[in-house]
Parts: sequence; C-alpha cells; structure tokens
Amino acid sequence: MSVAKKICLIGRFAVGKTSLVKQFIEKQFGEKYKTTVGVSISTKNLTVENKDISLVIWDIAGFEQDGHYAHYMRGVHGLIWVLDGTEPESFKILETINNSLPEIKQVPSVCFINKCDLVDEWVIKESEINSLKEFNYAVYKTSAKTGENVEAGFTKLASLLLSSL
Amino acid sequence: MSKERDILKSLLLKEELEVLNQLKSKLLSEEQFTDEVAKVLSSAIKRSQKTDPQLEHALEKPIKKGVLRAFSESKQSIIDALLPIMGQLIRKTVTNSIKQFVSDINRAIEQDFSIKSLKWRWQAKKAGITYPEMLFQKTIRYQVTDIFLINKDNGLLIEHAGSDDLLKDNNAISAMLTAIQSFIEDSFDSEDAHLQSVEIKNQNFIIATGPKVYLAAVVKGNPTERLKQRFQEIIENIHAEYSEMLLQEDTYQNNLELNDFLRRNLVTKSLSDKQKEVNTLPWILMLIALVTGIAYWSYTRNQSLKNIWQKSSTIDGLYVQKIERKDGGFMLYGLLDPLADTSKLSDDAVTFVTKPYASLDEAIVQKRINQALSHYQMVQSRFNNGLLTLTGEINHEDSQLLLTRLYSINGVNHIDDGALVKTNPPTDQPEEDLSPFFDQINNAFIRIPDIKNLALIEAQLGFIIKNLQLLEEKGIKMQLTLIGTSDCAGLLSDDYSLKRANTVKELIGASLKENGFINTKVKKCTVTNQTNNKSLLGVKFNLKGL
Repeated sequence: MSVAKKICLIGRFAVGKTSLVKQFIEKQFGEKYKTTVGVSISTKNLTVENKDISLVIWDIAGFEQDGHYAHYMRGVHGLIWVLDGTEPESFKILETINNSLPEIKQVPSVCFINKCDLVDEWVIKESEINSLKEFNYAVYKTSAKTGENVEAGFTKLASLLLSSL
Repeated sequence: MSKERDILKSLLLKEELEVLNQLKSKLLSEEQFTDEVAKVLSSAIKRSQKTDPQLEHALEKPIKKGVLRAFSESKQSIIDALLPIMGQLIRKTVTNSIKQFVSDINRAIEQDFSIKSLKWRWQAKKAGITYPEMLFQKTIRYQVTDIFLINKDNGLLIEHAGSDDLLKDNNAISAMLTAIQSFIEDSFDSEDAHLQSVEIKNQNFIIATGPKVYLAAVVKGNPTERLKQRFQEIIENIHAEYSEMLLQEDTYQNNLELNDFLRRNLVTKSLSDKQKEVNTLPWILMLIALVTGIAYWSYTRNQSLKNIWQKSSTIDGLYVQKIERKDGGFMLYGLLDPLADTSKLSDDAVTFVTKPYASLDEAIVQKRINQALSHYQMVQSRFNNGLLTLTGEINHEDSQLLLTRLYSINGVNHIDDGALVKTNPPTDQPEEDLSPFFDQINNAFIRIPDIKNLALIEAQLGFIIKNLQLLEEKGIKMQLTLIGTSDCAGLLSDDYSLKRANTVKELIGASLKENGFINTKVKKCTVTNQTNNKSLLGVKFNLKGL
C-alpha cells in the first residue's frame, strides 16, 4: 500500500523550483524560464527502502509576496527549501519564512542549493552553506539542468517522511 | 591582345552575347526577376506540390506567421471577411441549442398529463418540493462519474470512487482542487470563501465543503441544484458518521467502508435509465392495498346482501324473488303475507316491493288460527304439520261455527276436537223476521275500481259485515254467494271478477266467527267490450237462509 505525502518546494523567485520538479519527474530541463503563478502540482511515486510512497509535490510560486504561501502550506508533510548558489538573496528568504511560519520547523525538510552547474558563478561562501545545518537540513548541491543530486534530494525527503510514520 | 580577342568575340558571338546580356540584366534586376518568377510561380507551386511533399512543411510556418500577422494588423478586415461564415456558424449552434431546449420543454409538457407526471407530482409533494423542480430533476440528464473525498488542509485524497481511467492522477486532481481552494481563500482573504464548482473541459466538478474534508464530484451533463444540495448533505453525513477516520492519514485510499459509501452516491441520471430508477415497491404495495381494499369492500358488500337474504329466509310469510341494492339500501321483491313479521329487517333499510299472498308457513297459519280463536278464550290450540288439535271448552252452539271457520283457513287440513268440551246444547227459539237484513245485503253492490285499495272496499262493506255478524249471533244458518262483476273489457275480465269476489270474501270472513258459508262466483262475460267502465267493477251479494 502506498502512502501519499504532501511536500512543498519553497524558495525565492527564479531559484529553479519548477525546473527541479520537471527534472525529477520528467528528466527534462527547459532553458526558457516560465514563472509559476500560484502553485503547480505534480505527483511522483517512489519506492524507498521497500516502501511505496506517493509524493504530491506543491511547487509554490516564488516567495516575493508576504504570506501568500501560507494557505498552500497547510498540512504539509515535507519541505524542500530551494536556494540559488548564484543569488545570495535567496538565502535570506529562508530565515524570513521560518520566522513567519515557525511551525514548519517541525516538518521534515531538505535543502537544495541549486544551479551547481554554474558553480563558477556561485557567490555564496562555504560558511553560509554550513550555516544551513543549524536548521538540521540535509543539504544537496543540485542542478536542475544536469539532474545532479535532484533524485537523491527528493529520495532523501521521501525517506525522512517514511521514517516519521 | 585582349582588345583583339574582344573584337573577335564580338564578331563570332555577337548574337549569343546579346541574349546573355539580356538574361544577366533580368537576373540582376530584382524587378525584372520578380516579374519572371511571378510568371511561373503558380505553376511551379502546383507542380512541386505533386512531386515534393516537403513544400507544405516549408510553407506552413511562413503562412501561419503571415496569417497571424494579418489577424493582428488587419483585425477589422478579417472580421469583415469572416463575419458571413461566423454568423452562420453561430446561428447554427444557437439553433441547435434552442432545438434541444424546445425538445426538453416539449418532453416535459408531454409528461404533464401522463401517469408518470402524476407519480412525479406525488413524489414532489412527498419530498416537499415544487412540481416544476421535480420535473426538472427527472428530465435533465447528468452522470456523476467520480467522487473525490479530500483532506481540506493538505489536499490529500482520502477516498475516490469512480472510474480510474477518467482522471489519471487522482492525487494530483485532489491537490489541484485544494490549491484552487487555497488560492480563493488567499484571494478573498477569507476561509469562508469556498469553491463551489469548477468546469474543466466538459467535466463539471461540484464541490461540497465540510469542516475537515471536502467532496468533489465529477458530473457530466447538466447537474441540478438539487444534486448540489445532495452533495452538501453527503459531506455533512460523512462528517457525522466517519468523523474520526477522516484525519487518519494512514487509512487514506484504503478505507473500504468510506469508499463503499461514496460509490453508492455515483449516480447516472438519464432518460434511458428512468425505468431502472423507478422504485416499484411502493407501487406494488399500493396496488396490493388497492386490490385488498376492493376485495374487502366487495366482500362486505356481498356479505351485507347475503345477510339480508339469510334474514329474509327466516321470515315466515315472506317469499323473496330478488334483492337489489339501491341508494345505499335494498329493494326486496317478492310475495308478502299480511301477517308476516318483517321487523327483523327494520334496521337494514329494506324497501319491500311485494305482492300480498296467503302463506302456508305454519307460523302464519297459526296466526290465522289464533285470530279465529280470539273470541273463544276457553279454547286452546296446537297446530302441527296440517293437523289442528283443539282443547278446552266451548259453547256447543259456537263449536260448529268455529270448526267451519277453522276449516276455511288454508293450511289446516285436519282438526282434532275430541278433547274440546262442548257445553250448553242449543235450544229451540221462536223465529224472528230477519228478511230486512237479507234484503239490505242482497241489494248491495260493492264497487271495486282498484282491487289493491282495500280501505275503499272495507268502507263499503261496513253495513254488510254488521248485518252478517248480527245474523251470525242469532245462529242463523246462511249461504252467501259473492258474485264478481266486470266491464268485460278484456280477456281476463272473469279472472279479475273472481279475484274481487275472493277479496271481499277474505275481508268479510275475517270479521265473522266463521266464513264457511261464503262462496264466490263470477258473472261471466259473454262478449268482450272495447271500452272500460270502472263502475261495473265490483261484487254483488246473494244471501239465503238455510
């Protein structure tokens, strides 16, 4: 029997949330950027540690509007924080959201630092990456373009969700 | 050298060079080249279309682009060009829609006077809704193909009933509907703002929201308001009956009881399925009740008639030919002795349509005997099977009169008076002139225009009976002959004359102690008259002393 879990991707505008989902589900990457309006829903069935899990993925539009994401986050089982290694501002929003929705600190989460295919353009420092561990996140350097660590990150979250049952 | 060569070339190839120069100028001059290409373009495209399939692909994009540009740059021209076509298309679509609508209305009107409409009216009354609403429900087609029960908070699918093929990813559908709900709540900044329906392609989602979960039903066709209300009732029932398990995520999509509940609410409502939807049980019960009612009514009706027959058969002196129902009562036809006691039927609203007759029933004969013995207090009687046994004491003089009278009673075949003591033997007395009494009677003529009018006859018989009683008291032996007369106006005149004489005999005899001395006869008709004369209908008297 497969269990269904709601996971949300949250992060700043244009960090690559939708591309990560597309890569995870379809193994594809689109060069052209299309902004997400509201939320985009996808599902993916996985088998992790011999257990079936159905991930209902809520790809929430970039977090530029105050609090608009709160409605979409209700009842969430797992979170994927998506940061952009080339965009330092994307790190700041993590703290903002954690402050506005303190209850989500209890939710199993992983953190994707995306665009590792552009690692030469990264401006963040290793110390900043290490600071993410304060939130007890499993951190993955991902690339929606190449698919690097994408499946591993999603699978990790699925594993966390299954272990919490 | 070069000059010489040019001269040589011009001498040798003068004409060819002129042609070559003309071609060169055509190719190099865009205008001229365009003119040349234009001359062969259409035939070149036609030929290429036949031989080269790539041409269409090659032209597809530029043509598409061109058309789009034309649309954007010359909207009005395009509209003007398309208007005749679009107008017709729209008219055709609207006409078809109106036809369907008229068809629905016609169907509804046709149903209006049918048995079905009566049934629907009854159902509407029972359900507390108007007849048009019921009519709308019954004639509008729709199908509930899928029902999703969804966690209101996280959008996870709790249970789904319906076709799995219709919507491939039920989890995604549930999440998307929840996202739309969340978007609306966010947009209106209110958690009370609920999505009520969504239309995606030809799928209508009807959404009924509860406190913990909500229900989304996929409806094909035209869902009614009643259906929407029904789903709201369903979601309320789900919260009432399955409240505890609604938030147990480990049971999601694996709750058979809940799934079965949802599955029962998948409805197909179409005209072709109407027969299947009809619940025949109430109609069968009604039919049984109706038949039982009719049977009971018929039984009680027959029973009451049978009861009258039974009562009638126990009444002495009543001979029943038939009994009919009329105006809530009964009409009884037959023969009735004047001495019969019909009090048994007094409570049954029976109207007697009878003719009088002399009954031979023992009880009636006994009554006649009692009447005859009413003047003789000392005489007792017992009547059985035609034998009359007399006991007691009687004046010797009266005994003969009594016996004569008793013998005249129909039904009395034998009289046993051996135990009847006779006293005071008769003594000789001087004769008295009684001729005036005789004359008065012999001169009398009783008119009987209507033999049923006994009161009229009795009124005329008063003095005759009085004279006869006087003669009887004096012990005068007499013989009285009653002669029936008629107007001879029919073949049965003599029969009627005899009836008149017998009627008078009966009336006189009833007033005397004994009537054995009374005979009847008829003044027979020798000719038949053509005209009636009621004054001739009557009885004459011939009284003789013995």
